[in-house]
Amino acid sequence: MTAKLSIAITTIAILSAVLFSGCGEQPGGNFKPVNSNGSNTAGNAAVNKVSFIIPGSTANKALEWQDVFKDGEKPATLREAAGKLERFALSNGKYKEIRIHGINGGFALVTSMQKFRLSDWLKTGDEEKATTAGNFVEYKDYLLKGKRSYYRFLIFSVTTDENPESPEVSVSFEDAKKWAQAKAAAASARSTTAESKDMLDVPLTEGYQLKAFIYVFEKNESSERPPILQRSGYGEGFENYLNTLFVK
Amino acid sequence: MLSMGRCKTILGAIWAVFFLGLFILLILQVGGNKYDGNAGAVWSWFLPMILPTMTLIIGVFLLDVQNNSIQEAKVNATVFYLAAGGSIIYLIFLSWIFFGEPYTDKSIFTAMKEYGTPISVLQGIVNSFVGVFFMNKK
Repeated sequence: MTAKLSIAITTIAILSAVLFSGCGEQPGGNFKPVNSNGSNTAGNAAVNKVSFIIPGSTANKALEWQDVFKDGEKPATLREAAGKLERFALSNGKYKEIRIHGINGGFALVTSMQKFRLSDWLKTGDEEKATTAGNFVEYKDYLLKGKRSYYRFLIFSVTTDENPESPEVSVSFEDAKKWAQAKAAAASARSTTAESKDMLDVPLTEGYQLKAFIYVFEKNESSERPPILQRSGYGEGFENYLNTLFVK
Repeated sequence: MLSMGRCKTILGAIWAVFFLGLFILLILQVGGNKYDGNAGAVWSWFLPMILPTMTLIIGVFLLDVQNNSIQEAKVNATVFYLAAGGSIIYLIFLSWIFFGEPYTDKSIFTAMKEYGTPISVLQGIVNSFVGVFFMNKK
């Protein structure tokens, strides 16, 4: 009797383990972009299979492949391109997280939100001091017009679509913060139609264009309003920033 | 002993300079929409910090203009130095909250909350010094 009970319990345990082994797995969570050597990168990027729309940006710039990669090192596949862009964003840009979203005709790499000094686009990681005046002009502006904080995130698109941006679509600060977070992205992925996780395993042909978008949010520290997306300006600063970001 | 008329002018000048400076700064800040609709909270915090002493000084000045009662009086030097020195320290502290804000990582509202208690204590002490100064004439 005891032996039969033991066998029954063991059988139930094994069946449960088999049946529920797939639960809790994030869609696309097993994807890891690879670098040019074919090995996995740091593994920070997991593809999010949600069909993603690139919202209206603060500034954007179409990039040539040779602007970003060394001569003769153009990525062979979308996966390689994703891996290299990820490396630039994480290493040079010091963005803490990135996430890859499927878009029409390719993919979009979205970085996490980052606070930055308007007077020094490259200086990052000093979150608190980003709101203290660094020079007289900043002091005067902060004193009379209010202390301003600036936040940014980047999107790199690699797609055959010539105009992947949808200017009529606007993004809020809170929504944008979630885009690069694995948990939030995975949660939304469950309720939407999934694309193939192999969408990056295609050759990077001439038809694929690389474009960079920046989203700058400005917050008045004396106001209770959330940071507001700036829809113009910052173009020159963005170009200079990209030049330093893609130091090969 | 010091001349009350001269000491009174010095004390009045100290308060007038700081008051006008901060008042003009707040007007400019409101003009620049620094507080984004919350300027009322800043005015409500700032004015009680400075108006009680200012009205006392203005009142004494007006009284003196009417009957010249304290112009020739003498006042204890220690009392004057306490009133003047305390006033300067207090007003510099108050000014730093506004003028120093761009150099800190705090918003003005945070600073108002955090410094509210110590500055109120200091204000009470300085007000008593100023009150004693005007009462101490001989």
